[in-house]
Formats: sequence, C-alpha cells, structure tokens
Amino acid sequence: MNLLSTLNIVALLTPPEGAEFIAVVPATIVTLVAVAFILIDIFHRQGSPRDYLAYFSVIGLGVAAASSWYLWDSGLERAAFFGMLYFDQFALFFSALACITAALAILCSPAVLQSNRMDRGEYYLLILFSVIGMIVMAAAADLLTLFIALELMSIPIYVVAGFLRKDSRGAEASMKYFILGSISAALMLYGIALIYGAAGTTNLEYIANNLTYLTSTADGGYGLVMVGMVLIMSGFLFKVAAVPFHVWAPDVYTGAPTPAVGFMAAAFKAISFAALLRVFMVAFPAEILRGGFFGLGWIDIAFVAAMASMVLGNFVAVMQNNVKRMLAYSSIAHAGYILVGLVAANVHDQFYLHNDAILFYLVTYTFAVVGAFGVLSYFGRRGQAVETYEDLGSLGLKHPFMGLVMGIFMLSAAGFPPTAGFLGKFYIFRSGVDVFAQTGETAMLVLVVVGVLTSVVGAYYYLKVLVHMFMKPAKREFEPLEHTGTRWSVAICAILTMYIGIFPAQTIDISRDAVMDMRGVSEEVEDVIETGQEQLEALVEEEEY
Amino acid sequence: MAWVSTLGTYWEPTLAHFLLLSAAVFCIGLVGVMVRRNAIIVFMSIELMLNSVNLTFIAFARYRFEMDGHVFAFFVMAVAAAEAAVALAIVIHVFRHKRGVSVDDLQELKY
Repeated sequence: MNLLSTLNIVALLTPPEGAEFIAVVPATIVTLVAVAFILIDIFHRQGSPRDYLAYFSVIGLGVAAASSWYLWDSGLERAAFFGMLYFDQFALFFSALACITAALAILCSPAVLQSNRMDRGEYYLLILFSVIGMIVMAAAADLLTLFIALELMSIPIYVVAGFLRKDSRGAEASMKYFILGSISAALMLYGIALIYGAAGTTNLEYIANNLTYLTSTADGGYGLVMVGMVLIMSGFLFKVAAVPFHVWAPDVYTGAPTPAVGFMAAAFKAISFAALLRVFMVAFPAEILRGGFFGLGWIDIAFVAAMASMVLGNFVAVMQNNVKRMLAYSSIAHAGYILVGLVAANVHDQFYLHNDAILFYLVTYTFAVVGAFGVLSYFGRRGQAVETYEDLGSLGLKHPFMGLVMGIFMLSAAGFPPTAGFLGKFYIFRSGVDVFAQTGETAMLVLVVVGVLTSVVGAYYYLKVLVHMFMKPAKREFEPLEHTGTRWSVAICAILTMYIGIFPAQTIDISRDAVMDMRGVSEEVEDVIETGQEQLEALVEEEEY
Repeated sequence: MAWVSTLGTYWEPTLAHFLLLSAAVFCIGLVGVMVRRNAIIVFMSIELMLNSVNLTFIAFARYRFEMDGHVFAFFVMAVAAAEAAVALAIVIHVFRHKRGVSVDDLQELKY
C-alpha cells in the first residue's frame, strides 16, 4: 500500500480531464473493431469465403456511426486533450459520414475480391484504419493531429489501390498515388513548418490569434505565413482532387478495386473539405489572409481552383471512353462545385452559415458516387469487367434493378430533380447568387454562371451512360457478380438519394446544426451564428402560430 | 575577400542559415522526384523533403526555445518510417509486374 501511494499510480492513471475521453468515442469504436477484426481473421479457416468479416466490419462501422448520432448533443466547449481534438457536431457529422461511406463500400467488396482471388481480410482492415484517420482529421484542432490523421487516412489507401495484385494496373495506380500523395503531404508539411515558425504554435486557435497580431503590425513574417498557407492549401486541393492537383485521380480510379474507388472518391473528398474548412476558418480568418476576390488570399486560390476544376473536369470527362475514368473526371468537376460553395460561404464572415450547402452537397454526392461504383463492381467479374461505354450496352434491360439504381445515381450526379443531387447543386449555386446579391461582386456571379453552364455539359456524359445501358445493343455477354451485399449497398444508396431529394429538410437541418456548432471559429463568425440561431428560432415560433 | 577573414573567428549560424539550408534541401528533393526515373531514388527524394521539413521545425523550435517543433519532428519521422514500409512494398509489387522499377514503365493508365 505504501509503495502504491509513493508511486502515486492512481494519479498517473487518472486522465487530466476524464470527461474529455468522450471526444474519441467514435474513433475508439472503429479501432476496437479493427483490432477484433485482426483476432478473428487469425482463426479463419483457409479456403472458405470471408463474407462474414465484411459484415462484421459493416456492423462495427454502423455502431460507430450510431455512436456519433447518440453523442450528437454532448459536444465539448473547448478542444479536448490540451487543444488537440475538437468534439462538436461538425466533427460528429463527418465521422458518421465516413463510417457510412466505408460501410456501403465494404458491402460491395466481397464479390469483387473473391472474383479476383484476393479474398483477404487485410482489405477491410486497411479501410477501417483509413476511417479512423478520417474521424480524427475532421476533429483536428492542431496541425499536428491534422497531419497524423491525414497520413493515417492516406497510407492504407495507397495499399488498397494496388490490392488486386494480379492486376498490373493496380500496381501502377498504387505507385502513382503513393508518389504524388507523398509529395503533396511533404508540401503540406513544409507549409505547417513555416506557419509554426511564423506563429510559434501549431494549435489552430492560437495560430489565429498570433497571426492576427502579426499581420496587423505589418512586421516581417507575413511572407512566411503566405507561403505556408499556400502550401497547406495545395495539400488539401490534392486530397479533394481539384485542378491543378488532380492528375492522380483518373489513373488511381481506373486501377484501384472498384468498391474501394467509391470509398476513396466520396469519403476522401468529404473529410478533406471538412478539414480544409476547419483549418482555414479557425486558423486563417484574418481578412488579409482571406483576401476574397483578388486580394489574393486563400479564397482567391479556391476561386481559381473551382473555376479550373469545373471547366477541365467536365470537358475532359466528355472525351473519355472508359466509364471509371469518366467518373474520375466528373469527381474533379464535383470538387469544383463544392469549392464554389466554399468560396461563397467564406468570402466574408457574414455568409458563414451558407457552409451548410457544402455539407449537404457532400452527403448527396457520397451516396450517388458510392452507388455508381457499386453498380460498376456488380458488373466487375474478373476478365469480363465493364470498362467502356460499349460494354454497358443493354445491361440496364437485362438487369432491370441495376439499371434502375444506376439511372438514379447518374441523374443525381448530373443534378436532375427529384434526386438529391439537384438540391445539392441548387443550394450551392443559391448561396453563390445570394453572396452576389448582397455584395455585388461580379466575380462571384461569373463563378456561379460557369458552374451552371459546365453542369449542363456534365449532363451529357452522365446521360450517355444511361443511353448505353438502355438503348444500345450488347457487344458481348456479361455475367454479373451476384452478391447480396452489393445489392443491399446500391439499394440503400438509391433509396437515400431519392429520399434526400424528396424530403431534404432533415438532412439540411443536420448540416446546418453541424455548421453552427463548429468550435474554434473567430468571434465575428460566432456573432453571425448567434444571429442565425435567433432568426431560426423566430421562424420556428412563427410557424407554430 | 572579407569573408575569408571571418573563417578563423568564432562564427555562429543563425536561424536564417538553417532555413535557407532546409529550403535548399527541400528543393533538391522536389527536383529529384521530378527528374529521376528510378522509383527507389524517387522515394529517397521524398524522404529528403520530409527530413528538410524536420530541419525547419527544429530550427524554429530552437530559435524560440520551445518543445513543440521537436515533438513534431519525431512524429514526422514516425510517419516517414510508415511511408517507407509501404513504399518498398509497392516497389516490389511493381517490380513483379514490370520487371523493373523505372517510373517510365508505368504507362498503362494514360489519358
């Protein structure tokens, strides 16, 4: 006993703030699932299929998503673990989104892996690890946590990209993704180092404080901050596949296993936009750093990237013959649309609440893209996988269910009512028009007009898929990969796409709550949120009368 | 030749020297990634970039008498080790298919 008290073991074991451990609950659940997964995989009998492991990880991810839902109202005021991790509705929103995306993608996977004779447990494990990184990244309150989470998110996916090891294109995709991903991580890290040098800290809120002081005194160090900020931005633009950091996307999307591409395309984009929004709104809110519309701050970088992504993504997608490559270029275009929302919502503090359009768009985009890649993986038997438009010929007539859901996904991605994609685009462009109406900035209007026109171009290649599926003759016979998991996954995606399209109120409310609850934002933004909340309450009261 | 006379005297490098060195090493790494064809050397160049960032962190941390930068450098080293493990696996994977590790062989996926 005496020894115990001298060593003070109890004090050592007591965490600094016991209540803070709630902040890692979703990430811990996924970690425990991953560890349990390793143990179960050891006892797997050779030669039997691993479907049950896929279902196990889906259930685990479902529990993690449910925990985010359960903890929705129990956020922490300040960043947990000495200012390392936020725990707010914004982080919970994205942890749930990452878990659901991963679960839907994993459901499609067993059939593809078995057909390629690569039915290994590691595939699911790597995706689980990547999800842990995503959950932490959306909650990062320090550039250190951000960088570790970014690498934890990316490194497993470098391996997953080349997972089908009998396929030489997978190897190529993996190598290209790794080289370009590491360079972008190194550039971002250099940016973090420069910001650390200028601000003297890596905590986002302290950076904001110190930089506001630094930029107001006009004492040296401003150039350092600018270079650091641009480098960090380039790292994020790489992860969301925005022009000019998009070159990896088409190659990786073509070479990687199809269900994993759905996960990569949807979840990476969502989480990277979450972290981008958090880092830039918390750490760089100073007017001089933001520099909307050609003051040349980060808003202007996003402006140029948005314009270039929309134009290049859509027009190059038109020229593609390979369906997966077309979807890759269209995902570049989608990154452009989301950047339009980002520019509109953050150009001045007063428009901050428009950020809910981005979150809503990410939800609609997720289900459409995961579903589309799920359908492609259904026709992905080894040796006779669907590659080009011609391969799709009359598949929609032979497999009416897959034809129907693919129709829903393509219409949603193109932005036709009554699917969710239409409302996503509508809210994004509406926030842009609203900003134009209130500030009179022509640049904003130009961006929105370009967005609308290029999305008309986008309708061409999405509808081309449907034309081939329903109206063109079949070139060769395809034996689909019958699997219950794939059917369930695409069915859930299709139902959610239609549901959000017809009853969007719930999803919009959740996105708005998540945006309003973001911690660490500047005082000006907090005032805007408070006014928004009051207006909302007044609106609700009015409705009640 | 004024600088020759300073060689013998006591001379201490300042923050700017460290930053210039790390920026130079970073650029060497970046150029190496772009011009070298051998995948292994490309990975070495990436490691060079990460380590030059470490030098920046350490220099700033020493300059400010703080520990944050030192800690960050350790984390970067751990991440670099994880990246290297994955990198070598990918190189072997590519070697099995292409019988070589030149990045010029990676031409199946284009346009």
